[in-house]
Amino acid sequence: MRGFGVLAGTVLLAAASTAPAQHGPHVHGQGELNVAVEGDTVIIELIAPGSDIVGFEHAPETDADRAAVAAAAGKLEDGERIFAFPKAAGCRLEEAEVESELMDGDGHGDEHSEEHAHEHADKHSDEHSEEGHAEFHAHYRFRCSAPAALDSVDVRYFATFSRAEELDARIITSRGQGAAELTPAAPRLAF
Amino acid sequence: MNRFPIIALAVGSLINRRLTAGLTLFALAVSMMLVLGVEKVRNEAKASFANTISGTDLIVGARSGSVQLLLYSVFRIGNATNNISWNGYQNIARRPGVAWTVPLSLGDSHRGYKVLGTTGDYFRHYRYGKKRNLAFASGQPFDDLFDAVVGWDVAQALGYKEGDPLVVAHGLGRQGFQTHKDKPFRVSGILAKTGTAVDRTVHVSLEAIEAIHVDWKSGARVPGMAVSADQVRQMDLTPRTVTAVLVGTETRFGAFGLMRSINDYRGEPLLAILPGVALQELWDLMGTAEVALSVISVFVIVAGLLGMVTMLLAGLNERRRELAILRSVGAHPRHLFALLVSEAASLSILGAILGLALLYGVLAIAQPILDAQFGLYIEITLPNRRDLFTLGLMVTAGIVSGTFPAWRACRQALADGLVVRI
Repeated sequence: MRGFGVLAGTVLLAAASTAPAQHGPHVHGQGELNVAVEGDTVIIELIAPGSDIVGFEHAPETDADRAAVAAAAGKLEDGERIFAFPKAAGCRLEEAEVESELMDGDGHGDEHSEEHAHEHADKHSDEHSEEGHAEFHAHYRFRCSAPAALDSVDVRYFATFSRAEELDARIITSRGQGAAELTPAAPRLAF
Repeated sequence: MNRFPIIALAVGSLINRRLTAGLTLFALAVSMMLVLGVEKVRNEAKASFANTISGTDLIVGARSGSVQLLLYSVFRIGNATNNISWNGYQNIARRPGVAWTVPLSLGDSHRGYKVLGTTGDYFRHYRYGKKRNLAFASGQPFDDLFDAVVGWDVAQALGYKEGDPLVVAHGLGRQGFQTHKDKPFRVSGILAKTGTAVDRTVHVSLEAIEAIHVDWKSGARVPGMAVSADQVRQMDLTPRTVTAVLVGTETRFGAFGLMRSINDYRGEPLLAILPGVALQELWDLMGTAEVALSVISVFVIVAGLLGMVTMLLAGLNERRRELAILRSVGAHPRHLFALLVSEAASLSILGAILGLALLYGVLAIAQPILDAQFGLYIEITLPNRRDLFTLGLMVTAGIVSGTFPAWRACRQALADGLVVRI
């Protein structure tokens, strides 16, 4: 067994240089939500297929397309509308940033952000435009005055974007890690 | 006639029919024990799994499935399909946002217990339960190349003490068909009981794993290439591969980005998982089995209650005279109703108590066996609120089902029992 492992490792090493690029799954109707709670800060990352947000994933061709992308990005940026924390927790949106290859060039994503996290988005832009699947990446940072009262978050994303059907949510808090499947019928993520 | 004598009468009547009543009681007790036991095992198994690893943000292995990676890296169940190259490990360890890494190397065993090659950081960073660190019952982490730290169960089962020699078997051979007996280890420490797979693991350094394999190739010893334990100390023992890596990140959110970047790494097909999420996936997989267990427990209870109702109904025929005499001395039909319901209630309550007693008896016997055989540590605790609720529900169901024979008893006319029919 062990010998095989070593052997397999050697083969892997030899093959490493030619390892094929990996393609992440891209499912229409299904987005990804990553939430981390650290002290009084809640950091959220939302990744959604373009088809869920604006209904298309090709580069905007008409003015109507561009307007739809801009409007959607504006809605996504409104973090307080998309995520409803318990009132008692006193959470306020500190920063929101939306990026998508669909809005390359118009610089929309930078308007409201204080910090830039471009490495991710650029990498994903490259990958996904090749595959013809455009995504929206949104980052949010909330600060809460009473983090002890944080027991869940209502994700109103489905109400805003009716094409979205599902979010695969993952959450990391001081109590550990968890996962949940959020749908329009069950949009609450328990902490 | 007040209510108290009715209960006394009910108990007296039950004692009079002690064989049938006793068997019915036993059936009820067994079904209650089963329902509580299934629930207990389900919860404890879940807790035992969830408590096995905490404080580790990511687990990285060769690309396979997240549940599979979790099972072999943390629970020592199954084997890795591939290993990670040492370069791949170095690449992970050097990434920004990584606070610590603990490489794990699996593949050998010692008398049925898995041997884990790792570094001293394992004892600093591995946490279980509510972020508890590993503690030493005696001794200390491995220091010398041929030092081994054994888990509590290994030490108990094989009778190891600090300083004892230990020979590692190649592969999973329980018979010790091929052993590394030319390079014996010495037990440098024994870990305190954790209730996790750590208890059933022998820990050695990564270099030691490499050292015992220097004269092995493709799973067999190379003839004429024996390297003695002393010679091996002079060799370069940098591991060539590791099986999995435990990773701690500097920030919680950092785990998401790091996971994505490791999964996208083009140098080598790697898989990074969030252990807590993989654990949940594992439970979701078992969700169907859980539902099946719950359904079975409900039917077990239904069968137990049916048995009780049958006994009470069958008893009605034999007790025509008894009931008729009660009527003739002034008992109202509602007294007979109360009598029969009291019998059902006494049986249910006694069944619940006896069921609990049986449960704890069986748990006390099964605990060490489950722990040793399946690594499932079931903590024996007082019944929780949910257990009491379940018991209450079952007793209520018992009393309610007792109303049926009670209603039949009321309907039996006074004359019915006294007149001897031909």
